[in-house]
Amino acid sequence: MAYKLARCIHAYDFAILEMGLYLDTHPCDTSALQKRQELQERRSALVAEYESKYGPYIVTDKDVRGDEWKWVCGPWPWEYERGNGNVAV
Amino acid sequence: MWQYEKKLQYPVKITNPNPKYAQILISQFGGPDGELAASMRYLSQRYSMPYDELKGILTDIGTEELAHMEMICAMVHQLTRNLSKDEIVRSGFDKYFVDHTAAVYPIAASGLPWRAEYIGVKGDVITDLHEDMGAEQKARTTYDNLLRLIDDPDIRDPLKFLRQREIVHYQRFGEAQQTRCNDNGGAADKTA
Repeated sequence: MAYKLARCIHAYDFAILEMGLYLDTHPCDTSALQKRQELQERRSALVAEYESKYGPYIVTDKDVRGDEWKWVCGPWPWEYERGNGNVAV
Repeated sequence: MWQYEKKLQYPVKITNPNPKYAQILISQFGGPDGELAASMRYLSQRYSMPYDELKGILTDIGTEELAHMEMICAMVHQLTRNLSKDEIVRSGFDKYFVDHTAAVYPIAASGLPWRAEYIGVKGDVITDLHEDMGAEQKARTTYDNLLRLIDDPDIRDPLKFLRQREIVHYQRFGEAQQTRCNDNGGAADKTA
């Protein structure tokens, strides 16, 4: 399911960000660098899986389909209140 | 420059609008210890920061604060959706509504608009890092107070996430301060 896979990618995004903050104050910690690299690789694999199943993960130029500029299509990130029918990505 | 990712850092999905809660939550957008102040503080301090890794931590945490600001605004937005006239008047939201309708404007819970006086940008490594550590604890206290006042689990869950982030940021600023300000007799002698 797209939502579940996207949530999993978000969790990796967060872990990578957290490792980045740690490395800012521990720039010589090679095991942390290695860990961050592993997280990055696993995230890339999940994004590839997502894109093969559900289409583009991040809206870029490749999201122009026909005459449509999909970047402006909602829902936007703040429009996922429960009960409005939007499925969060 | 920045690139926008069309997602929130942590999901915000609120079932029940509640303008009473929106009026106190908005302080973490435009209040003295809110996320707007946090991002402006760190991103502004970068230019006079003499050490590369401190430029890095200010950039990264300042950027994350922008994402936290977006989460708070999403919460305020979802809490003020589809309100009836009666709900607006009874909750005391009418005083905000008359000026801003249901838009999200940066004010404190008291109604005071956001001010640059909330942030310190002093151009001294020790001073700025202590400002930042204090700011993280003040934000953490504000989240504690919000969690004391708000019962709705849809709001409490993202608030707990944000509260934890303040603690992590405090830790990182503390490490930055220790490595740079303890071993050279004070870093204040070095300027950018």
